[in-house]
Amino acid sequence: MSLAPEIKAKARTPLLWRRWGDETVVYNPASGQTHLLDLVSGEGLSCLQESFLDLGTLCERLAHRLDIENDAQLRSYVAMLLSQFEELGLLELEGVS
Amino acid sequence: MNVSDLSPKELSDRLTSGTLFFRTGPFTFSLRTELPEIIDAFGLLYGDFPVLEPGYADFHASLEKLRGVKSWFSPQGTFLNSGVPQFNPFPLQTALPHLEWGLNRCVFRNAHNYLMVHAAVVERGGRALILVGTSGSGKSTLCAALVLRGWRLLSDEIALIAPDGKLAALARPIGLKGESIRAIEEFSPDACMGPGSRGTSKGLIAHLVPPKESVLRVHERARPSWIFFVNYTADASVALTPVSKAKALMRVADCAFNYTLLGRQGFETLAGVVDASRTFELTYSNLAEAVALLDGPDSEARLGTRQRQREQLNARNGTSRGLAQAREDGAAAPERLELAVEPRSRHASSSSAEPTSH
Repeated sequence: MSLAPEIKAKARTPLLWRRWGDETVVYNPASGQTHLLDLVSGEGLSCLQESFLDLGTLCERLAHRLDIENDAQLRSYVAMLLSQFEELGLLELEGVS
Repeated sequence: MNVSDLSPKELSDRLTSGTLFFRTGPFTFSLRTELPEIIDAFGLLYGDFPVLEPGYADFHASLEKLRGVKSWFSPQGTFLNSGVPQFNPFPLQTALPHLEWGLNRCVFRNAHNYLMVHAAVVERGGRALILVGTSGSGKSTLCAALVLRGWRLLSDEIALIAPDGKLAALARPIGLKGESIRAIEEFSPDACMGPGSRGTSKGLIAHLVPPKESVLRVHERARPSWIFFVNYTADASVALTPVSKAKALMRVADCAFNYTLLGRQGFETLAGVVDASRTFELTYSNLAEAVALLDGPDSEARLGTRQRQREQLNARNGTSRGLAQAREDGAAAPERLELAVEPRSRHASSSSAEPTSH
């Protein structure tokens, strides 16, 4: 299930990060879980460190960072990522009624 | 004074009265047992260990024969720490392996000031090689063989990682199972082994006596340098395959006794160890070939020792930044280039994209 477009998300803080090459490992003290992220997942979560972003803005930033096209496929993929991050307790959400 | 300096009677008196105190690495144990076969085996396996005067001990272990009707027909034993049984009753003929497992259990259930990983650790030149593997992976066999080729034994079961990231030693006898015993006896016919115990849940078990030097240098810590995920596979050729550091961290965390318990400290400590290490999967079937890979004339180049030294030298001279630092600074051009070549394949594959959690 994907998040509604008006909802903004931000990476929960504090998260502990280690990046090696294409891969990122994130430790979430709140859940005690460690997550292995691939390049796109890692960059996606990284984009959400500073401020709350909606899906469209996140896709723009991710496309820019990764030098890829911001198209429907990316949008669908990022929506799925956000949903997974939310399930894992890696996000704070804004605009949830 | 070492255990071997005690006469058989003195050793027996101390063990039966519970006044045998000995130390290995950071821990002091007291041990009490009246089992004659254990007293003899202890004298052999722990001969080089220093004996301490009775006093404080981190763990008070005892190995006893259970009384009762059942023991008339099938003698049973129990291992206790501070009077608390650590296992279900076991056949008395397996008392020696249960002593070793029990001493390990004392450590990994209590020593949470360390990050503890189910792994063997050996050291050469101050650098630790961590051998990670489940039961049957061949890690203890490889550990024993390397120790017999002059690597210092830190531990064959528990990697003790201090908060500063260094590996503490816990040198004790190396437990070997049936086929491994034969492999080590063929590899090094002079290897000093303790008595074999049949009928354990893992079959025949025997222990390799730890080298005296490893016992004497037990206070020397080592810095992490290599992590090998050991994988014994029948008939496989020996192969050393790089493992990404992120995946290595997840795999080591899976083998840790208390990673989750330590929380943030566990992550920081383990990430530091992985950062400082070269990480490989080692597949082997022939023990001599595996040892030659790690101990032969080209081993330094193969293990990246020279490359690491060059990197450190360059970093000190300011001619090259560490890769990790460069990436933190945003100099991730190779990754972006790779993605630009094949953008869709990098984010369209759901199988590779799913975050993996520990």
